[in-house]
Amino acid sequence: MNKIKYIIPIILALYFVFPLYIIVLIAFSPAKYTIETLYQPLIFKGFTLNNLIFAFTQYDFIGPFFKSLAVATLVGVLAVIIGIPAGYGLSRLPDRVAYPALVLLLITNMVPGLIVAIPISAEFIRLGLFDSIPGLAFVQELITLPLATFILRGTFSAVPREVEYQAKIDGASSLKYFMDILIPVASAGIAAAFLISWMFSWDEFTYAIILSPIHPTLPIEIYVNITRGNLLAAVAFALVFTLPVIVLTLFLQKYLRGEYLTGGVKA
Amino acid sequence: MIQLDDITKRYGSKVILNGVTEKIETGEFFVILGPSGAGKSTLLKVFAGIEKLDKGKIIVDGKDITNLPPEKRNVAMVFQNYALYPNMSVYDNIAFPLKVRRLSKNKIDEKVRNVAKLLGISDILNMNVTKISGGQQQRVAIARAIVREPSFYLLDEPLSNLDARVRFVARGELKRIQKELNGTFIYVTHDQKEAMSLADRVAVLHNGNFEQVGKPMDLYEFPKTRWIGEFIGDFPMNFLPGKELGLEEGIEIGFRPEWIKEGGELKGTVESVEVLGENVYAFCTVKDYRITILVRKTVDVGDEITFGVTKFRKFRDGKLLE
Amino acid sequence: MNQNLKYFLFVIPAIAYIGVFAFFPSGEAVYYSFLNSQGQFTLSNYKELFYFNIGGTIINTIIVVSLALFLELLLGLGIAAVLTWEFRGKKAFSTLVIVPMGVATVVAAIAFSFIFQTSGGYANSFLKLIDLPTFNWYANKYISLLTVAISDSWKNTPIVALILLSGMLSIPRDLYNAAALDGAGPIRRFFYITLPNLKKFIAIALIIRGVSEFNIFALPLILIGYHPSILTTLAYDLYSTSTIYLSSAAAVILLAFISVFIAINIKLGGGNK
Repeated sequence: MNKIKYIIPIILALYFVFPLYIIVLIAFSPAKYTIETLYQPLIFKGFTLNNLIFAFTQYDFIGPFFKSLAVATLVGVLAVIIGIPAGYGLSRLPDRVAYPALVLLLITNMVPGLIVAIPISAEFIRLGLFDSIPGLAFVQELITLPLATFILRGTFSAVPREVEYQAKIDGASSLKYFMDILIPVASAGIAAAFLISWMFSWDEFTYAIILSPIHPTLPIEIYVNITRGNLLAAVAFALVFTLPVIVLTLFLQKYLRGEYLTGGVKA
Repeated sequence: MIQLDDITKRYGSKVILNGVTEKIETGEFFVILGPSGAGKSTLLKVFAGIEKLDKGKIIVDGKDITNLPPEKRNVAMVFQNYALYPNMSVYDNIAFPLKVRRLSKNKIDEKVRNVAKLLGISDILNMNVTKISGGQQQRVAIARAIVREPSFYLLDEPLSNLDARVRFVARGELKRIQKELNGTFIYVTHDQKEAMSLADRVAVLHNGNFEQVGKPMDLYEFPKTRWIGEFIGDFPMNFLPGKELGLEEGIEIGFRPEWIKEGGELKGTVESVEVLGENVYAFCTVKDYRITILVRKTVDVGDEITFGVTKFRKFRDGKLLE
Repeated sequence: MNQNLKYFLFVIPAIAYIGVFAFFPSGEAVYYSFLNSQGQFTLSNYKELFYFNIGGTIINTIIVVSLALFLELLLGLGIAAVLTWEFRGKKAFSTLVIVPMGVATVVAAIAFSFIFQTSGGYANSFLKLIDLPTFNWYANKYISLLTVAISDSWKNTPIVALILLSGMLSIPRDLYNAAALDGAGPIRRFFYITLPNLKKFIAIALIIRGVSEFNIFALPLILIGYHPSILTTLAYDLYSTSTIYLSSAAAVILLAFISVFIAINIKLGGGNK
């Protein structure tokens, strides 16, 4: 029984790390051990940086990289700007009013990306937003705004109402209360809302491929390289693309909890 | 002087405050006592301006403040959970009301340090308020309230989150501070011992109104209603029909457990006993009525006991007869 | 009441935002699905979908969704259970298992495209290593769909595990102690205490993942392309090769399935109470 306690976690951990290991393996192994052989070895038989050098010198990485960066940052900023008031309002409203609003936000997350993206692509072409940074960011915001709002609602709920009363009684205006007390107290939650939104946008695929196909974001660029058979470039880009997100995920572990992921739904 | 005139507050169809009218003198320690859910906190929020009134007026030193928002009322408040600003140090918490009023840095520093000395928290000024003990937090909250000169102070059960021994000391300190400042303190509590030991006057809030306002001893000696007689005191006042003592029909008599002598015309059976040091309280049944009496000898459950009432108040329809 | 109105004003921008960017386009998609390229009302888009084997596509979608949900639930339960144990390296383990959440779908798709190949590939290398016969991971459409489901469950199991874990942690330890005193072994305890108490959390995980499962797109697109199609890849295929009206019709069918799925779940969830 005691051995099982170690064997099962080890097997599970290996399973979850394996695909990433494959990416690293292919990125740093000479091609003859990876894509040029049928039954590839599961361990490193050689080490090379040539794959990465070749990928970053022969294919456009910078363009998609900056597009992804700009879109993700805008998504994060929007999430905070709209999510802070929404999260605050929801944290102060009685449940019977807050719940329908939360459910509405949750339902938005359930609307298929394609059904939003297809008609919006037509609108965006008309409005000149097609293939643009703000256009894509506005639509990706749909996925992250509900999540950001839930996180911020949780953060603000933790600040007792009495603190707000106290600030008023001490003579502060609402604006001063927001700026000097509420926002600083909630800074960790706000940072989490920003980073999680950033991350979701960074990884997003469906909206990106439909709304920004000409100047693609990184995930789309990687996809395009696969379809064109530039497998080593795709792997190299994927590796560089994934690292910041894994770091962020581990950093944000505390916020990726059941309560937030279920949208604050109490069971 | 604070005048409350017909203060009325409803939540939906539920009446929380039903025409509260009273005058509170400047420099008075005024305690509002009531069971939980009586609307004490609502009344304090009305004083602070956090809750809007449905009807009535609040007049402070001749000035009508009924419709002023909290930030324009110049009141100070200490909440039950202290409501300290968690992102600030002790120093910044106390300085906050002064900063908002745009006092000079030097002036703020001087005032904060004086208040800190008064409350004995000079050595924790640079600590984060989330890292100090409950007792220290309570002092910081009080310091923040008294650092400026408000027209009156509101305190919402500020001692209830402290453990018993600290609370006892804090009670005395609070009274000392109030005297030193000669401030008008309006203090809410459900703990009658606290009310009795702190107050110049106690107002008992029941059914949305002050059922009785008076000096602590008066409340104990002359409860205006049967309800107050039962609410005030370590043990509720005992009530018996007047005819048990040969009084006219329709009169009830009320007496405290210690207003008796042993041996007399009333006979009861001891149901249970509570020993508090030298005092032994016996809970007995006297002809189906439950009576608590103070006895000087050891009694046991099941004993028969006889006693006489030495002092009592007369009530009719639950109200004290003068 | 006045106060609540003030707080509600804060929420309005967010609600207006999703109204403009989610509900308006969804309505538009439904509207487009009934138009022809001359802008006249028609049902021909839906009729034309049969030409693109819409029936088979729907069945494929249901197969992938069911398989993926089954795998995620099974693995998720396992991980959540392990996370309630105490063992050395638990912290490292809990960190490692959430790593897939940070891996973009595209990246997962590339990795699995190297792992699962018709012949060769890392999965088959592994099978050879332990002397098992190799396997064509795309031999027929069912195996292809299973391959997609396995790859998808890799990325999404951690979310399910976290939801189930918060459920497991909410079960009072006394229940287990009492059951153990009554003589129930670990397996009995799992079936008689853990599972019944997890019902609600399993339902939440199923709803959340189920809806997302209907929407999986990048992974099937990269792993199997349009062979066979599922509803998302069909809609995208039609969007890039045909008209916006026809692709809207496909997307509306997807929306309809998700709505039915949510409705069933709400109904079942309501029955539990």
